[in-house]
Amino acid sequence: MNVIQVDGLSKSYGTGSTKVNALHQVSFGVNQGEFVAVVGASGSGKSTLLHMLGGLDKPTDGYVHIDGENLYALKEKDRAVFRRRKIGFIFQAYNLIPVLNVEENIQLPLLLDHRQPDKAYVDDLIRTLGLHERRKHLPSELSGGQQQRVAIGRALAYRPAIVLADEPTGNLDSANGREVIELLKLAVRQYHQTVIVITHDMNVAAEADRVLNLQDGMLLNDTHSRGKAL
Amino acid sequence: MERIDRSLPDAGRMWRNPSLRRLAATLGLVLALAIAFIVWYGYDSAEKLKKEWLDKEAAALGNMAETHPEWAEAWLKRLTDNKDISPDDIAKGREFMERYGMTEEIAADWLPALGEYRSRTFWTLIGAALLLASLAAWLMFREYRRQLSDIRKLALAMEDTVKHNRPMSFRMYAEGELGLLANSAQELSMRLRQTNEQLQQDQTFLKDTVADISHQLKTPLASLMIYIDLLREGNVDPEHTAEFLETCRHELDRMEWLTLTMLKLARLEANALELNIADASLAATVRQALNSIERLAENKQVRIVTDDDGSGREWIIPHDPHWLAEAIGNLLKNAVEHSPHGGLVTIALSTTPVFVRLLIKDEGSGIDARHLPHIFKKFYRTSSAGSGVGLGLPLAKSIVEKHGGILSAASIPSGGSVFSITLPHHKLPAGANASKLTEL
Repeated sequence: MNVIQVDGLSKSYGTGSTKVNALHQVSFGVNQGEFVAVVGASGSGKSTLLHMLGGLDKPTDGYVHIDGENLYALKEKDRAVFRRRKIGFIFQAYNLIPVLNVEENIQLPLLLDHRQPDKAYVDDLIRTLGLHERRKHLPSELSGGQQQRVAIGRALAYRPAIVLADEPTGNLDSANGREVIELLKLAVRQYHQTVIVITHDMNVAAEADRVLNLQDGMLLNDTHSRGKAL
Repeated sequence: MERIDRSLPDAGRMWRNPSLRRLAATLGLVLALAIAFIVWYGYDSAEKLKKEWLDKEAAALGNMAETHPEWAEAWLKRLTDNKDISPDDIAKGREFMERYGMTEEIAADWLPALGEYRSRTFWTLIGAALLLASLAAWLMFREYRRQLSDIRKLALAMEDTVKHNRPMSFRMYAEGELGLLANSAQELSMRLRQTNEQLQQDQTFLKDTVADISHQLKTPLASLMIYIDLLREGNVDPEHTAEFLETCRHELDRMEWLTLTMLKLARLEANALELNIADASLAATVRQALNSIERLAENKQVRIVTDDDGSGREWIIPHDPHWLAEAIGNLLKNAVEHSPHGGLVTIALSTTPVFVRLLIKDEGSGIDARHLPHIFKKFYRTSSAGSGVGLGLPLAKSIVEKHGGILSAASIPSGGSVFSITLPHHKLPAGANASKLTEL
């Protein structure tokens, strides 16, 4: 079963002569547990695509089905709940809450849903992320790599079916960037998550099971870079 | 696992339930209607009463004006005179009225205006109360029906899922308790499907493993049988006999290794084997792996050097030394086999806040991009080089992944290939794969 199914997705901004097609008739499906990289020049529609997948922005045309649910047929309010429970986001700029410490930032999606975070699980997660000694620190007291690891923790806390990452390594040096990608790969394996990473770093793309190449808002090619190893 | 907040819902949490909000809105609406009605009715009935009272006064005055005009004038003055009414006047008036039987006990019906007012108020208020009550009842009924129909849909969808193993057809992403229930039900159905898929995969895996083993054993068995038949017939000269026996021995060794490795792999992949993961020295484990590969390296004149930042650290990290040594040994074996005569194999250790990395570099010809996606598949062989049957790398991968790590391979642009074992300092906590469900 495809966990993500995109059909004829289009997005345009403006009208008439100022109309810009950010995405044009993009269709593809992603299997559960796949690690997919989306590459393309800036302005190719990568981020627009990610926003559509995450239910952050309405498409002009076409459908996004996630877990069999037509994302844009849901009511705005239901979509917000859906997003919180099914999708984890990781951004280039980390987007942590500055007044919450590491632990609180990681537990945020659970608290928003009025769930009691499991202490042991969150603790384990924080240790894996190498943040144990910093768990009471505020984001401003952390390095970029550490902040991005907190963001990964936040995306994994709910173990959502899908993790969407927008240039997660964009602000990091190669060592920290590699760590972020490896953590995402571990998550794919451990939690059967589906990860979609937007990147222009070819080293990141090389780590993916599959690479979607966007150009001028259109899907140029779809390469399965590695066979599913046993 | 995180869990749904166990404490009894407080006001804030109750308020997250859409049904409760709608109920509150209903009550608010009914209350507003009631107030509007009371305001309207109070005003309207006062007006009516005033009019009726004026009519009555007018009639009395009219009569009086015909017979005693001066009385009527005085009476009218009294009426519009808003001066305070003295208790004395009231007492005198009452006394006079009582003489004609107009006491407080008199039935209101005897005073036509009052009687009308009473019955009108009575019926209007009853009617209004009934109307409001039925409106409230209808709205609440609708609300309950909505909620019950959601529960019913959920029940039907769950029944469907259980009986036909279909994905949940009814989804709900609302806030509140019902939303949480629906979410849990959906999670349950997904886990059910995953478990089913896993079962099917396990079955396929078992079938494939059996097929693999029998396929891999058939060829050497056949040749063994031929050699033994030849030897049994007895017309082989002693020189050939020795050679045949040597070949038989070699084939048997290979079969032994194959069977053992297949079994290890099968046990690992079928989760029939628990690794004994505890803090241990990775440096010692590497040394253990080196021991197993020493002879092979010597034969090929390949030098193996360990580069550990020159720190001479022990690299304490949670792992199972026995099995990880096996994995590293297999990678080293692969590196040595693919090295040129007199080549160099480098083992490099490094650490980050999250991972420990172990790189094994060789100076061979690297891995063709064509083969790269497949080298960790069982029985996949890139060339006839190397003695393996294509089980060493899959076994290493399986072991590393059991440690919660990643094994990857790449070609070095300057030549040779590099295998990297990435092990977390702390294993990612068990998640969806574990049998534990989200506790309710």
